[in-house]
Amino acid sequence: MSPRSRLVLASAAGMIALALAGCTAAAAPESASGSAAPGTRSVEHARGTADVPDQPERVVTLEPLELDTAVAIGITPVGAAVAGNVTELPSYLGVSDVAPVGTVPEPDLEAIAALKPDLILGTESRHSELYEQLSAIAPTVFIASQADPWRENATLIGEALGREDEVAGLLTGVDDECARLKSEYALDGQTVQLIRPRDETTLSLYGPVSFAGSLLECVGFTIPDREWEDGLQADLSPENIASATADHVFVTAADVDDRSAIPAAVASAFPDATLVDTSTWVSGVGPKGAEAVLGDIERYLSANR
Amino acid sequence: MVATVVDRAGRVGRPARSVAAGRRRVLAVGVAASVVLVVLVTLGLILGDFPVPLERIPTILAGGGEGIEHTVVVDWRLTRVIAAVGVGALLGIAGALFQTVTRNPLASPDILGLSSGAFSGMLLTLVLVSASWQALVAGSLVGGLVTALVIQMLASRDGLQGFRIVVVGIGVSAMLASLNTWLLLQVELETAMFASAWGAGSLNGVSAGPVTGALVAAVPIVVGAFCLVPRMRQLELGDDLAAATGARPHAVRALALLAGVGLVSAATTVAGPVAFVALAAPQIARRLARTPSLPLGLSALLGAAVLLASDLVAQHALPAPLPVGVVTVSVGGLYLLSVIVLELRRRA
Amino acid sequence: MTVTTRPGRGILSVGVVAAILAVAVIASLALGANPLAPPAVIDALAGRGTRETSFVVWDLRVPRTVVGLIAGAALGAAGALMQAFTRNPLADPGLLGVGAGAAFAVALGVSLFGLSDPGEVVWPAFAGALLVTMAVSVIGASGPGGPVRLILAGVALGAVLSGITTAITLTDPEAFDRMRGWNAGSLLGAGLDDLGAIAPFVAAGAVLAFALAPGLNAMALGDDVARSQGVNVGRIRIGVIVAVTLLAGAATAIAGPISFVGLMIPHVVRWIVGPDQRAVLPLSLLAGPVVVLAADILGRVVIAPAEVPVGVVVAFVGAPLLIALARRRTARAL
Repeated sequence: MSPRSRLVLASAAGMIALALAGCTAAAAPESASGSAAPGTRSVEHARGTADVPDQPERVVTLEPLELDTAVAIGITPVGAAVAGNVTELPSYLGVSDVAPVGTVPEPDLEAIAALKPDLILGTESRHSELYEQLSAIAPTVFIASQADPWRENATLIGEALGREDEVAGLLTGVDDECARLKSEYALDGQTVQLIRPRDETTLSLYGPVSFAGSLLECVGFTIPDREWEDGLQADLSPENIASATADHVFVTAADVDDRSAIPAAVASAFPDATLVDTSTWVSGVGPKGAEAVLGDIERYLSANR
Repeated sequence: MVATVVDRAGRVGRPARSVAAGRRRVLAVGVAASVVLVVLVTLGLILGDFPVPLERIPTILAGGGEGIEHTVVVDWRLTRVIAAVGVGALLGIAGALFQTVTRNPLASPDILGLSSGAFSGMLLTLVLVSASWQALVAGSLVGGLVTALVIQMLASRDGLQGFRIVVVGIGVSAMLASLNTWLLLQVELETAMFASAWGAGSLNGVSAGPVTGALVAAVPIVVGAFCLVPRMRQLELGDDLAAATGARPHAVRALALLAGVGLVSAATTVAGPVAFVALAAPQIARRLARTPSLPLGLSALLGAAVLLASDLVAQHALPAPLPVGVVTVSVGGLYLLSVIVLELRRRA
Repeated sequence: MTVTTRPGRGILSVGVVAAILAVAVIASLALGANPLAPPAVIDALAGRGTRETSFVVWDLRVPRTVVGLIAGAALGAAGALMQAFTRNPLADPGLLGVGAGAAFAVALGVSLFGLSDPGEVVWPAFAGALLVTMAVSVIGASGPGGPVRLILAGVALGAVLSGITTAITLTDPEAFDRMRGWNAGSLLGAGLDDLGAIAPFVAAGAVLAFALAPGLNAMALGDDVARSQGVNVGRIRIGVIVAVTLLAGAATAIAGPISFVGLMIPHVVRWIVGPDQRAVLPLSLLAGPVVVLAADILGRVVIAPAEVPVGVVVAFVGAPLLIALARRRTARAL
């Protein structure tokens, strides 16, 4: 058999396997149309429509933003997926007694089922293959992607939890706080840079569309223009650190009191850089995280008035 | 090694008495492996965070049981157990095919670049296209097959030479591994961890659809592989002798490799690239059964047992649940080490 | 049968490769993600640069050039030793478990002891590489059967360690984050003090390698032939393991896992000067840094203002070369 026909047959074998797998894969369940049962309402989300309880009492969240939003409006979930198996819940949230149900990338279905939840919140871009299994345990609502603007996602989460108005209130509160800081400190025209050291040869800068970047800009700072990837971030070699100059430089770190964690490149170019906590500025996406970030910004502004 | 004889009609075989003894041993090992498999399947149905008493299992399997119990035992645990058994069997057979045809006990699907190609395909899909699992599975399949094709094309100059295909395979795999390292650095941390878990091979969240699809698609390939067995045995004598007795070495080799690729592709659809099962299962089978060649059926049984055992360990025996591929890599390495040490003892 | 290279050819090759290496060093100082003009680079080298240019040249480019030289030389020599010793053109220092041992130690250090500074992981990585290679040689080097058992032991122990390393990183996000950076390889991690402390190990390994060269030539046709010529095969085996451990272990400790250099350099070198180890080893020592520095420079300029890690680029530079070689010639005798 010539090599070429062999290759053709190899592709054919693979394509058949793929086609059969795809064809027999369970399609997304048809959205339950029509009126929902009493005591529930319909919520449209990334995977169709779900009938969720009016007042969910046992919520399981699989995404940090969902946990943050729930806690921000006073709901303590019974279970939440954590970042990694040896990390606990982020301390800035101030909750305990939330059972871990596996990790954000790999939630533990049986642990979730054992908690007997009445609502599950997840993310389509991460938990896509688990939707049917999760729906079998309890009504499940998916946000489309954790990279989407956090305020939109928070609104959907509020709707799923039956507390749209409270979430809207929180978001307005964030905007109001921004406006207050903006008028009090008159920061027009002052530039800011948020640097996250990644490894020896890469520094990441956060752009105006990122979580912390958007908060810095709504307070009145300006992040200097550059080629952002989706407006979120840009990578830089330490050789080009000087191009990250700004009036105010923030550097993320795990421990804000440990200045030795600042990479040499940043320390030499910006000796006065301010350290900020990665767990809120980078990972703390959500209303409570926004509260924490704005608090850090206010403390910085009043200390450097 | 048992002597072979060639009878007057040119058929190749072994003396009758040792053939019977060999067959009895293979059968005995097969029965033992099946028993172990049944025990493992039972464990797989009982263990888990959601408490289900042992006595309820037969009722639930027969169709009873309230909603969530039924979901947990049948939709999740049983599906995962079937997936582990099926994928393990497919990988065991594929490994036996690769190793017989290349006459190299270290041959595994990765020589053809399937695993690194599958991971690259999945990462590229994740970064460029979409994160839905159908897209990822498609991406990984395409990646694996394209890589196998590219390696074949690069290595086939005046026909396939063993040395050249291995060198080209290593070169292409190294480039893909570097690409994967780079891509993992570009995505956010949790996405990278998810991708890594997938890349290690994971049975987390398998659902009935892909499992059924892949196993059904694999059945004709498995049947074909078993039909090839007599011809492959003839190949082991060397190409010249095989050709003299009527086998066509190139065709047999090509078909066997093709079947192996198809089986690994089906397995990757379900669980991602699981390491070491295809490598180790045939070798364990051969050693246990003391046959000179790699037994296909035993490789399937042992592959299933190894993967299921590894999955149970990965889920329940460790401080935190891990992808099954992490366990197979470690256990596979330990197995190889023990083989080496035991061989040393025996010769000393 | 003794293996020789015409002396003139050997010296000419060494001269040419040394000249190419000098060009690579100059390029490594002159080129980078920050487009400094040559006069600015020269000023900085002479001590007259601005704060920015001095930082770029003295704190970034000079250290990484030095690391590239040391690691490249060590990897090239280690690869030549492995391929001569195993008589297998596909052998690579990683087969002894060097990379897996270093990665395991780094993962433990990051997750258990919270190491995060690039310089902090150099000595754990070195220790991990040494310990694992010792374990591999204890398991695999005894008894007959030649290098096959050693390679199997290295692959097996490497697999076990890589499984455990993956387990550690998948359960600890900080460890995962740190490891995915370390895995890509980088010439910027080690500081000059660490380099100064590691350099003697590399030098010792190189000296040992040169001493082993004649014995390795004799072993090219098999252990028995070598023994009949009076070569102590067992001692050579130990010497090779020690030398490879020192060289590859040190390289991985200062630069992270840069695979492929050890595999491809000996091929290219043998293609130039033939299989005489007395010529192959010195030339590998010079050719290794050429590839590593070339890959690093390419990584710095190709996506400026950001960088691609050197470990990622090396495979894309080396693999096509290796494939081209494999397509041109049939299996080449060592």
